[in-house]
Amino acid sequence: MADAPGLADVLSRMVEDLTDEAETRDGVLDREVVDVLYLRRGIEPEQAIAIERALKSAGIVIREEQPESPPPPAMAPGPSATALDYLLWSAREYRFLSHDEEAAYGEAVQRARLVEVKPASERSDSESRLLEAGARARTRLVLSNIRLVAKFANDPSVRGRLDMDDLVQVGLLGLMRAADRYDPAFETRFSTYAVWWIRQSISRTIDDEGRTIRLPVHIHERVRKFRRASRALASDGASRRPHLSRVADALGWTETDTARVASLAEMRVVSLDDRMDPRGETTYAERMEADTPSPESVYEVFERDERLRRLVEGLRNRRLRDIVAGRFGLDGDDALTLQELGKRYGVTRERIRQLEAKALRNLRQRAYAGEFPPSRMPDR
Amino acid sequence: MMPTTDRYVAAERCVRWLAERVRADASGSEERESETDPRGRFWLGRLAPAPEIAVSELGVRAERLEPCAVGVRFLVEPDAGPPVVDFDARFSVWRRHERSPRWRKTGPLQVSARVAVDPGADEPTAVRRPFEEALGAFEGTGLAAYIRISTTLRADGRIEIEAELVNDSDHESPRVADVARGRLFECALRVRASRTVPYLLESLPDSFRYDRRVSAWGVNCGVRWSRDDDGRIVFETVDLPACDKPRPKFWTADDDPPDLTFAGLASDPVSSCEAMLDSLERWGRDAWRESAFGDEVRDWTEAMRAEFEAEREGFETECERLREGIELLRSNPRLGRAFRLMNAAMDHSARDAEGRLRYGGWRPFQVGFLLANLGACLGRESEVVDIVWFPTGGGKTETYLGLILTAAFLDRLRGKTTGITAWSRFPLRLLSLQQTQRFANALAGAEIVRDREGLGGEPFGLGFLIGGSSTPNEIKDAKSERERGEWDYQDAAMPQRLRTLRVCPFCKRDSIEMRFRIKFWHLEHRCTNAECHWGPGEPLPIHVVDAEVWRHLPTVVVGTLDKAAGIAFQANMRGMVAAPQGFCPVPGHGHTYARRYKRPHGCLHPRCDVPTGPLPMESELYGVTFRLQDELHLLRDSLGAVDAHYEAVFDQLQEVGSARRPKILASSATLSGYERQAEVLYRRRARVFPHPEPKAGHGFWAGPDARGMRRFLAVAPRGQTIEYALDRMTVSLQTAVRELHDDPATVGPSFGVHPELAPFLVDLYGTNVVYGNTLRDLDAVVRSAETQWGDIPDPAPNVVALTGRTVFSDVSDTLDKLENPDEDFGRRVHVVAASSMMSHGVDVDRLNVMTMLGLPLTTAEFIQATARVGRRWPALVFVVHKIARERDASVFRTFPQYVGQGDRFVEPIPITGRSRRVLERTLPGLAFARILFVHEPRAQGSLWKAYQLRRYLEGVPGFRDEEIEALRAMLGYDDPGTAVLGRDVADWYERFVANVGDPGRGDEWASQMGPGGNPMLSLRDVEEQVPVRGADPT
Repeated sequence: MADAPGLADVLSRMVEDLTDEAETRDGVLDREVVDVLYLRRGIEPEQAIAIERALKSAGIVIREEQPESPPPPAMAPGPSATALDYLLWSAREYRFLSHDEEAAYGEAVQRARLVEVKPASERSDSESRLLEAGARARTRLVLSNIRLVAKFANDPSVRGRLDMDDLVQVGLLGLMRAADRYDPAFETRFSTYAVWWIRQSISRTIDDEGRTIRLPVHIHERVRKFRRASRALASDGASRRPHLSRVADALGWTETDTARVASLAEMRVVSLDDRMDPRGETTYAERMEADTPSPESVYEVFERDERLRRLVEGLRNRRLRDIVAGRFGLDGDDALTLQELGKRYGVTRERIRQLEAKALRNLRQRAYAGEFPPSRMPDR
Repeated sequence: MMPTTDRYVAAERCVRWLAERVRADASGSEERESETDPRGRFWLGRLAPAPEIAVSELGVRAERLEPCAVGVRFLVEPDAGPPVVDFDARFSVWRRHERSPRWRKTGPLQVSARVAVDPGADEPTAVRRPFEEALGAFEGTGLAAYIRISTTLRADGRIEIEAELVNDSDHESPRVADVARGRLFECALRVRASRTVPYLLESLPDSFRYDRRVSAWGVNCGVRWSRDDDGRIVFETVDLPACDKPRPKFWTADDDPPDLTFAGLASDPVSSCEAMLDSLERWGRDAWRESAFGDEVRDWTEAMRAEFEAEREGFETECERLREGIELLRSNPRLGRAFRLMNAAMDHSARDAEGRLRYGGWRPFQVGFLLANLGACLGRESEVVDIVWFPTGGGKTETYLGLILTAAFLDRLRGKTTGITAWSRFPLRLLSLQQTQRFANALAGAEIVRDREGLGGEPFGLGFLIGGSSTPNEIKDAKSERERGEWDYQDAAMPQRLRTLRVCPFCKRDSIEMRFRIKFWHLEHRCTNAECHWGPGEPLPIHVVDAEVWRHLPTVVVGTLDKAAGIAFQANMRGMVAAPQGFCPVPGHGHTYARRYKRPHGCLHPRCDVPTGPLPMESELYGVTFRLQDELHLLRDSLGAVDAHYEAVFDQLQEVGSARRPKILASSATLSGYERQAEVLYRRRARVFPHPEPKAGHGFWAGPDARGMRRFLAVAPRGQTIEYALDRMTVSLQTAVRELHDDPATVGPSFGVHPELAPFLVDLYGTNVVYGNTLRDLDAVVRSAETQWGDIPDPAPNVVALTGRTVFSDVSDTLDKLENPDEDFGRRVHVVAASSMMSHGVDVDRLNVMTMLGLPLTTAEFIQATARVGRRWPALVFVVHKIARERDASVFRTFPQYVGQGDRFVEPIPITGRSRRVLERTLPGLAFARILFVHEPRAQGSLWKAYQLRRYLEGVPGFRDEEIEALRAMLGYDDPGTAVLGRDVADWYERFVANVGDPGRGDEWASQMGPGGNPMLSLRDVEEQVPVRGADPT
């Protein structure tokens, strides 16, 4: 086999490949094609400069990319529109992606993630460009899949458990996460993968904030108003938790009503594994009835072991006794393999197997003869 | 014995020495004392007490697993008095030392007796007295033995005598534990008798070829016979029944061999070939005479006589074919020149990097085959399949390469400037690097000659159609890495993974560099050697990617049979059978094919958008001259049946495309039933070259040499498992080789070899092949290596596995290690655990010791597998019998005959051409092949989509009837016996046309319209696989 190609070889191959690329693409060489190849072949910035100089002298021009500008808004949604309406409106400009397009964008994102780990100061120009291309690809993946979020936010299993705006918000976070992590090597469509993240993101939020015990809709409405008001009051910076009376004032409710709604808003569902008090060891679960074996069955097992021990002790040949004990771990040690026992006695593992069989035959006979009830014999 | 310095003699002596070592270690004949119970240690030559065996729960098998008697059975001609027979029995006794666990051996003890056998006795005679005397020292231990003699009077008046040495010890005697529970060791019986006659095996029509005489049968052992000083026959029992196969020599006539060197034939082929033919005819006049068989002729049956006559005529036909071949050389100047150029090319290809000839010429049978088939280069006799059958191995590939090159030169001379001349198929995925290199070397030789002679046309090229995970169908041009997949053109390491040649075929140096050129969209093998004839300027004419093969249509295409399935969906396969659509004017782009969405002009360069140009030569000249099938015997069962249909479609399409059927050449390791196989597979008559000789092994083309090739020994372990026997044999063999390696000065002369040859012998016999029939057996071997081979002195043995589970790269790695062993003995491979995967195409001269773990299921596999050892040097083959099995037991009894006449026991190849189930699976493929190759050109556009086909069929009302007729003709469904199949074809088209015409069907692709599924993707894709899950018991 020939040795690994030397440095000069790698560079001349790069020039040859890029010249070929240009020739077979009507003389045009896209910047992205060049950058991707740099990354794959591990080309250093100084080498890239040499390569591009060589290309230039061969009359090949690299076409720099124009970043895609977002489509102009045709007509913004009206003032009563929700966040979802707005998102859907902006997303409709982005058609669904084909599998190959998805894969190409996914690869761009992944390439950018490879570059990302380098400190900004050490990045080469081509790497910075790949980073930008990655960001564009990520945006594109997200924008083309916003409908997915809408679909899940409207799912009957989650609708109403949280504020619709909140649902869309967390769903979108999940989608972005998916765009970050989608690797075409998964061999799935992006949507298949993203659904998982969106659903996970939504359901986790519901777990954190949503309710396990459903409230009547009108109460839920009031809880939501209460929260919104508290948030609004908290945002002016006066206090993190505004006083109940301030909230009651803002909402125009009586203090009694407000207190009741507040208690509902702060109601949490508790896990069995939660500690009963922050410093203690006792969990809620420990207060529940236990499911341990009864003293009778513990005794039964103990007695069976005892009889088995007597049966084995009854083997006259000391070596056979040791082999059985060793094989089944009766001495409390781990069970030994035929091989290990063979080594101990200096015979082949086949011999041990024969001896074991002989011992078990003996045990079985004696067990049948009344020393031990047959149903309790070990299986081997 | 004088220490020899002749390498071959030394190797032969080494083989005998190793065999003797194994026997001695197994029977304990070299031991006097033992630390352990000899019962658990020795596994040959021992006898168990008969009373113990008689009461064993295992019944008959107990006797086989640990016999209580050995002996011989033979025939005596009746005489005036009762036959007098002399017996010498020999055995040893192991006894435990008092007050210590050591064992000491007594013996061998000898017992002799002379007995006048009573032929009419009803009861067997027992000779006990001398044994009682010999065993006097062991009184009280219960040890006893006797010779048992029984006689049978046969219908022909002869007396059959069976004499056995029986161990009659009392296995329940109180002190029996001190004498290895009554076992006797190193037991042997020698019988001397007069007037013995051999047994005669039953006769079959072909029996005249074989020696039917068997002098005696062994009982639980083998028999060796000789004559004593008085001229009496001596039969001796042996523990390891043996059969020696001699190495063949390739010139057997008494005349001087003619000049069959490449150089000689390149200048004047006619006179050498005539001389050879003369010798052949002279030899034939002598060998094909009844009188050459002496007295045996008297025993011949009518059937044998008729068979002999027919076979003699066959021989004469063969001579006639050779004569015609020579006449063609003389009378057809173009063919004569092509033949001479081919020889010049072979001369180039047989040279190494320094220009030295590795082998200088042909073996006579190879020239014979070339002459007999020269007419095929001119397109004659395409209705006959010619099969090369040369069981003694060596040179099959070169033989048909010679014919291919002749045809290739002839093609250039008659104006075929490009296109495929031969398509050679291998049935397995595993095409070894050795084979690809051989093909490449021959073509490179031809290219050098073509260039020198200024013949014009494209350079001779070689293409590979392997498929699967080994080579890609195409290198994809896609934006995303995912779609480009495993064979990504941007991946700088990808080309290296597709390297198929070890050295440059032109200069034979390790100078190959792999590249992918985007401009030509070509995966290149480049030679970096500036001195090379081809040189570093251009890539070598080697094409590995399918699409490149279609584009460039190299002279020879080598591939796997599976690829044939592509004819149903690969429009580009057209280049195999007919002219492509056109030729792209851009240099390096090659031929163009059917237009598709992504290939608007039919050019297979993915970025090409130049309109296609005209073909560079007459369209009738496209289409292959030869279709070759290597290892024909593997095309059996469903694979054979399926392939038969695809062969038919290739034939028909080529007839449509270039108005002739190609010639089919094949090589086979099995002759049983080849006529029927060829009839089913190719619908052609079959002929074999060379014609089988009158006496097996004594032909004109190959006869026995004085030198040995393989020594086969049958092993039936007594009282121990075959795993134990295998472990001990490996220990004996590896220990012996290590002794020879460490102390050549003492060990070498001990078996008659000069010490300076020790490294050579260690190299040849230091690697054992353990051939197993099941993966479980082989796994056990690999495990044993870790635990049971501790007795082997350092270095510890290195074990590798070569099984179906071994991944491709590991296989080539292992083969490389075996061919080029490490200087340091300790780092070489010592044991190869191999399965049937090894029985094809592994040719390593260094493998010369094989231990076969149980007989393979078929005799064909036995022959193939054992042929892996002893390719150049004498070899040793131990066949360990699983003696409890009936078949193994029966082979053990007749071992020398089984090995010596193995070809007779080869099972005929099972294959059927008239299966409805097979037709059901292949029909869609056949139909779509015709749509692609016959109807697409008529439609002047793609018919791949359902709506396209629908539109086309609307304009062609006769489609259904034409197709039914064509398919019936293709498959030969024209007699009452095939009426049902013919009806199946009609039904299929009926439904297919109805489906296509049904506007309610929403299928996108035309291929989904056929009833019963899509075309097959691979010829092996016959049955639904049933996944079997379970825990690995190991």
